[in-house]
Amino acid sequence: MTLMLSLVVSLFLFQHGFNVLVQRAQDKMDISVYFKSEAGEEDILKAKDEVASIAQVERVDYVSKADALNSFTQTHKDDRKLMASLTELGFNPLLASLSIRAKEASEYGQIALSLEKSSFNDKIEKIDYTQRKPLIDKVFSTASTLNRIILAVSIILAAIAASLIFNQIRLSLYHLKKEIEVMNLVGAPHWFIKGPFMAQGAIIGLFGVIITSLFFFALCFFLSPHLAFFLPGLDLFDYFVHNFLIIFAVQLLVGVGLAVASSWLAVKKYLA
Amino acid sequence: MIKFHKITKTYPPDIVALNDVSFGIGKGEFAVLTGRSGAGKTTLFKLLLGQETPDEGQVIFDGQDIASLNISALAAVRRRIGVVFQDYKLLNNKTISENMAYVLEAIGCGQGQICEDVPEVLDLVGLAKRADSFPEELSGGEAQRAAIARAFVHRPDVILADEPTGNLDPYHTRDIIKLLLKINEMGATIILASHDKEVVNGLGKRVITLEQGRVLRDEANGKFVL
Repeated sequence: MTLMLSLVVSLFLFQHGFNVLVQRAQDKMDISVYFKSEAGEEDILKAKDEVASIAQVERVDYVSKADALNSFTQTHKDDRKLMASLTELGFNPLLASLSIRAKEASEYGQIALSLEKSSFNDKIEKIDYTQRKPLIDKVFSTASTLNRIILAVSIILAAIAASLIFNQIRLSLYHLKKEIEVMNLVGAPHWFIKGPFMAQGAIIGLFGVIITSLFFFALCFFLSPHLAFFLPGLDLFDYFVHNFLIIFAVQLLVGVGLAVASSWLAVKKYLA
Repeated sequence: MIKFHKITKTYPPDIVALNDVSFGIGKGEFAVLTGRSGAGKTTLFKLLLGQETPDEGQVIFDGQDIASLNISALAAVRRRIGVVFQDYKLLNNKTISENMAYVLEAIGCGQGQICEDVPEVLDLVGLAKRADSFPEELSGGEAQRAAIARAFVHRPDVILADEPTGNLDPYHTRDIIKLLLKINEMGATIILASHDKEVVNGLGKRVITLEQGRVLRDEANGKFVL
């Protein structure tokens, strides 16, 4: 029972960890719109307001030519050849841009389409969505595939666990087969026979839920700092504590429900 | 009160347990079912208890067709029938008095009635001093008397006794038969299945002889003839 409930809670926590991971990957994605060098700052800021009004857009940042050069210099300051070429050039060759972040990874395509139809389309030099599209699509499809895999694995594991619990309860009731049959023969109503076994199943389920909750409380407490080291932003203990009621309710539903249903089915088999 | 009407029952693959069996048993009657092992005696009991359903025919108990009853109606019929088995079938984790109390609890009796009825019936079967013993602590004769006590504690209309003396010596056998006769005198219908010649001949009651699933003989003051 505890093993099965541990599985349920693990999947619950894993799902959260995975969501944090995906969220972080998505947070790092954006698309940039580069403006022609003749486009003035006023035009670009107007364009920024227009972009911000697109429903799928979460945030728009303006990167001026000077900011772009500054960032480029900082990134490549150790590359002497590149720096020398830039100095020799004698002017800032970088373009001003808008960095756009979507609310959902799947919405970048829609935003790119809106940009192509925008009033400032003639001032756009290029949109780097096409270059980043494969990466964006890959992150999105990986997240979606992994979600489906997690769901499928959860269903399979839940089915295995349910069958294990049912068989365990069925075996534990097997040695009471004769007694159940006698109870049935003396005319005891079925609820009178099944009741105590179902109550027993509920108590076993409840104990399983309490033990599992305590175990995961301790596990999350000790594991959380280590996981946060590998995946910043993931506070498993905080998530466990804040969602404890839901986790406890899910365990109750699965643990107690399954034990009661298994007892009911196991006893029913002996009631002719 | 009980009527077996043209009952046929076959077990897979093609074992005919009962073949066109018809007879009735009146209220307060003491009837003996006899025949060789496999003649169909136990199958008749199972049909009456609703553990099996006939392939053909009807088992009628007090006007109700057993096969057509739902679960709760069947449980209600079972509460009107006490069953005594050759292997006692007492609940091993309960004492003798608890075994009896369980039946009364199952039919909804209060503690007051349970405290009154259990000692009374234990006294009737001569087990008053063994009330707190567990089945495994009893001798064969005592266990069978306990099984009769459990079958009778809620004063059922009918007692089915399936080879109740099969495991007992002649002394305890007489004891059990005397007990069944006493319960019959108190008004209960008794159907005793037995292939013990001494028992059948000594009773001087109605004897229904079964052979190969058919009623071979049905005599008011019958004898064991096979």
